Amino acid sequence: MNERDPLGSNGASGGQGTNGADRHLDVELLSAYRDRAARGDDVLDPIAYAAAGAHLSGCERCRATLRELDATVALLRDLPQLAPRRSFILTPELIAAAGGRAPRERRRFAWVWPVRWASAVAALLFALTVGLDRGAAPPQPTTGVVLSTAATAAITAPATFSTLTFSTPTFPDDTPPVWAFSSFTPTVYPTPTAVPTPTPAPVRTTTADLWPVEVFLGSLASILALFGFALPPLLRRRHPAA
Amino acid sequence: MAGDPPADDRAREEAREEERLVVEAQRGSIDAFNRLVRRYERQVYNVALRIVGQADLAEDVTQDTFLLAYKSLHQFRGGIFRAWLLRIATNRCYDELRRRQRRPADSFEELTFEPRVEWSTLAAGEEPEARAERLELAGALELALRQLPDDQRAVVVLSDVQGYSYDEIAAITGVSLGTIKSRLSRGRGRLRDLLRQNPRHRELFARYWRRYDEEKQGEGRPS
Repeated sequence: MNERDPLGSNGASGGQGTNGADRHLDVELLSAYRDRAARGDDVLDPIAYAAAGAHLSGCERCRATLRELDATVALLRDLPQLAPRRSFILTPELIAAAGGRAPRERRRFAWVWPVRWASAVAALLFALTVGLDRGAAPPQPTTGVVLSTAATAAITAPATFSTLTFSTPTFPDDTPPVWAFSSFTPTVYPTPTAVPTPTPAPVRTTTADLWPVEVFLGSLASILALFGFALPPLLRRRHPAA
Repeated sequence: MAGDPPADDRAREEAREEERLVVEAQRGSIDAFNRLVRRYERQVYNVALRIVGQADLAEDVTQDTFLLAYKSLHQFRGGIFRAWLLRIATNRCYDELRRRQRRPADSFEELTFEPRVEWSTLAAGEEPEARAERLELAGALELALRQLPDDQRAVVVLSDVQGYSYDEIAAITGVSLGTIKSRLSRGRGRLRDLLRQNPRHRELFARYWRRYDEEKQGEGRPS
């Protein structure tokens, strides 16, 4: 009988016997053996289980240790499930006292605010861009491209997020002060078809050097709108499921 | 036992019901969450009671567990809700134990609740004297449990007092099956040694396991 490998030496015996007579199963192995025998837990591989069983059949001392472990587990299982002296039902007051909010509320705020801010800033920057464009108005293709970037960013954000059941400042109807300020003809905006062919607006031959500013503001507006898209998923990723 | 259709159906129905309650609670329904509280408060309380060893502390831990669970419910993404809940509970227990280590004046040496025993194993026809001995032994076991290292005690409580499977204990404690097996066996071995240290308890324990042995041979072991 090969007892060497799966079987450890019982601390009480401490023997290094040559014929295996004074070697015993250690408590860890007996505990795993007990769990496999009693409740089928797969914590001991079949070979070690069989070897332990063979040893137990010929070793009274290990059988006694196993019975004691078994009895310890039975005694633990006999400890009662005590009834708590009070209920732990949550009340709105208890939640408020613990500084809590409804999970749904927390989640919604995490989504809404970055998006709102991004949309609002994109709107403002877009209006500024249009205003500058009107002031500068060089009929160059570059201007049309820049305008379209800003316009797309500003339009897309509210249109997409409106599906998330909150309201953002919508374009172009909800921004009368801006439009009044820029007095821009609404026929150009916001139809996407206007994008490839920039409308030849009434040409004001002032300086054309303002277009880098437009590029900058238009890009900024796009980035902010993208930020509105990207931030909520990032927030969610930072708090994965427990 | 496996293959009992009505029991399986009931378990499946309960699992579906629990899933629904979790979703409702995630949408902010306190009522739905409180139905989960009612379902699990006893289990959470008993785990906490055996790990921290004091009734009033266990109540605080249980209340905190449900508050924390409610507040972080949006982080629960499926799986076993009970394991998720008990993970919060055991972490809170460890917090309390660490806090108590810093304030050693708190007594851990006496029972703050009445030791009792269930009637699951030796109840039938048990004589009053034997029952009194078992009560005494249960009290000694409760005290011995507290002398285990915290991580061994947690695993022994979850496995042997509460009867959870190795897989569920792995989900609750976040440690590997091998570690659980090792903590469990060392914990059980240490409990056995502790019960044998005191001559009186040693005698009671010897009598208990002899009776347990006879009972087991007579009618088969309880699982």
